[in-house]
Amino acid sequence: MKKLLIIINIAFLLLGCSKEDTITQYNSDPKENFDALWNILDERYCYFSYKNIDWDKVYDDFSPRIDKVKDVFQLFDLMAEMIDVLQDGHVNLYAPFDISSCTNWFDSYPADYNAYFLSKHFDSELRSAGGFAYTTIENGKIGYICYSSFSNGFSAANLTYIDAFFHQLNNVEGIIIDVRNNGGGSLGYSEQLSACFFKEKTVTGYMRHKTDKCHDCFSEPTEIITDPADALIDWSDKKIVVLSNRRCYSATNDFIVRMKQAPNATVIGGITGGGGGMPLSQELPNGWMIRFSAVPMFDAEMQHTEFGVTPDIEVHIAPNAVDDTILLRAINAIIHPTN
Amino acid sequence: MKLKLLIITLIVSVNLFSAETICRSKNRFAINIGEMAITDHYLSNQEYKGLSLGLDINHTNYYNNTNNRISWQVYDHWRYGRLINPSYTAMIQYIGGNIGFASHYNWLPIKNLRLMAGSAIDIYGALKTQSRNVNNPYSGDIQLNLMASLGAQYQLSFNKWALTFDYLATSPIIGGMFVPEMGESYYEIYLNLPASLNNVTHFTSFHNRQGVNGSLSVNFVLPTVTLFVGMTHNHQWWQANQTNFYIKELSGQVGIALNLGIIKN
Repeated sequence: MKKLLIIINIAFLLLGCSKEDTITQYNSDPKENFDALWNILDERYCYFSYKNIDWDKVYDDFSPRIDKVKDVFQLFDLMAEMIDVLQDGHVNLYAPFDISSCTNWFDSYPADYNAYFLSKHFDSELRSAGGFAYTTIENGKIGYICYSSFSNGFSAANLTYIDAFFHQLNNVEGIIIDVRNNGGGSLGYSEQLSACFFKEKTVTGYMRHKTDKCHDCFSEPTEIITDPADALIDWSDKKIVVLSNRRCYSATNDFIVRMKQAPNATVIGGITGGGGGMPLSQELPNGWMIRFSAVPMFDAEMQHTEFGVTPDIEVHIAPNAVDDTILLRAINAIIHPTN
Repeated sequence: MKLKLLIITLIVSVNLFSAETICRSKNRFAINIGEMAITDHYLSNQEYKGLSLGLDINHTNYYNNTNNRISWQVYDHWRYGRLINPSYTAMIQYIGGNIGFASHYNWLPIKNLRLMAGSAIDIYGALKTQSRNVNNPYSGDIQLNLMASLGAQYQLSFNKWALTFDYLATSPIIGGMFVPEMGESYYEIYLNLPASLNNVTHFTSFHNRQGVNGSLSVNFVLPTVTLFVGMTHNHQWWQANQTNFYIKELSGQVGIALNLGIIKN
């Protein structure tokens, strides 16, 4: 009997030990970390095919340079250069001493924002409610809400008081929601805010996820529904204009995608920055973290939103322009909708 | 009066243990402290290690007052782990627990030795949070397993007290578990409920779920209470959807067992 017990215990221990090879231990070797980074993206990044990137060739191009790496800074720079090939603002390498980022997606586009003109146009100083800054313009005819980050939360009380300011103290004809330069944040806030402008449940997009390591292994699309039941206030019958520019990224991009389906909303401005892939994270053996687009998102027509969303009315601000032509177009759209 | 009652109680207790006895009903409460290591590929490829704290509660009795062959056990085991990656750049906090019901056949092949064999229905759940991940900072485990359960108890009786050595181990046989697809966010699972459950629930057996969870204790059976010290080892592995999970824990424990009923061997 004793022998039997000993054999059973040894069998259980061996059974567990055989799985140790699935675990990656700490390793600061440049080659190991470079390979780990390449492999994580190879298995999990979602836009290789859509962007027509030959990831094997990228490895062949960059891996010979590993032998010349002398310190962690050079290793970081080499890795950052490699992942910059993806041209994705959601791909970042985080080390204790630096964070890599890709900025090409907005660098070569017009700013489409004029802060000086904006401030001169306000009826009064901006008030703050949660993540919103708000006031009226055009002598109280139009409500103006600036939402600078979808990382900043808001509550029903915030929206209720803004509503009272717009519709009781003033008598606004429409509301401008300015999300220009909003780099994103929480998809939850995007969903919650956009729900305020819908009368009924609407399919506003789709998402898929990788089901396997191959580049084109994706699940069937899941509907993204914007549901007025999630709304903190009902503004579905208000005339709404959303202002966009190239710096609208990630969750803001998602907000624009949803608002394009809202019944009384018009999106005016520049094409958004994109960032249609929901990012996830993994870490390298040396502890650095890699963030990458993992879950591709689509608009209501099942089109990728990674490279941006075209507004309903495309307007740009010319370089050196004094006016904010996007704001002026939005005012016109509310006060003179037939023009 | 109180003094008389106390003396009578002590005499009765000593008499009970002067004969060869086994515990008929036990309610065991133990606290654990030890080391835990986990791998959760949904959160990270790295193995996280650190301190674990735990609470184990077991209730044991026989089904039939006149039969000491078949016993039941109800247990709940809780663990908290504070775990660091090998490069000390991120942390996972783990909170999890097992709740189960077991039945054992008991037999006494030789004097003072009791062997147990049976099965258990075990529900395991855990929540892990990784401090710096983006959009995948949480990972949850839910499993329902039919476990094989084996145990042994050896008892040494002395004049006024007894010493027992207990070992009990469980190992999963078949069941079901929750594992998201490799690139799937919890946000998407939530959006697509209940249809998404098809892809995240898995049948488990030896091909994708293995492990052993054991507990060894030395019990000091005193007249009115049993105190024990021991160690637990837990080694679990499962995989699905190209994602691997691993828990390894070794901890020491101290505890108390309240014997609500005692029978003679």
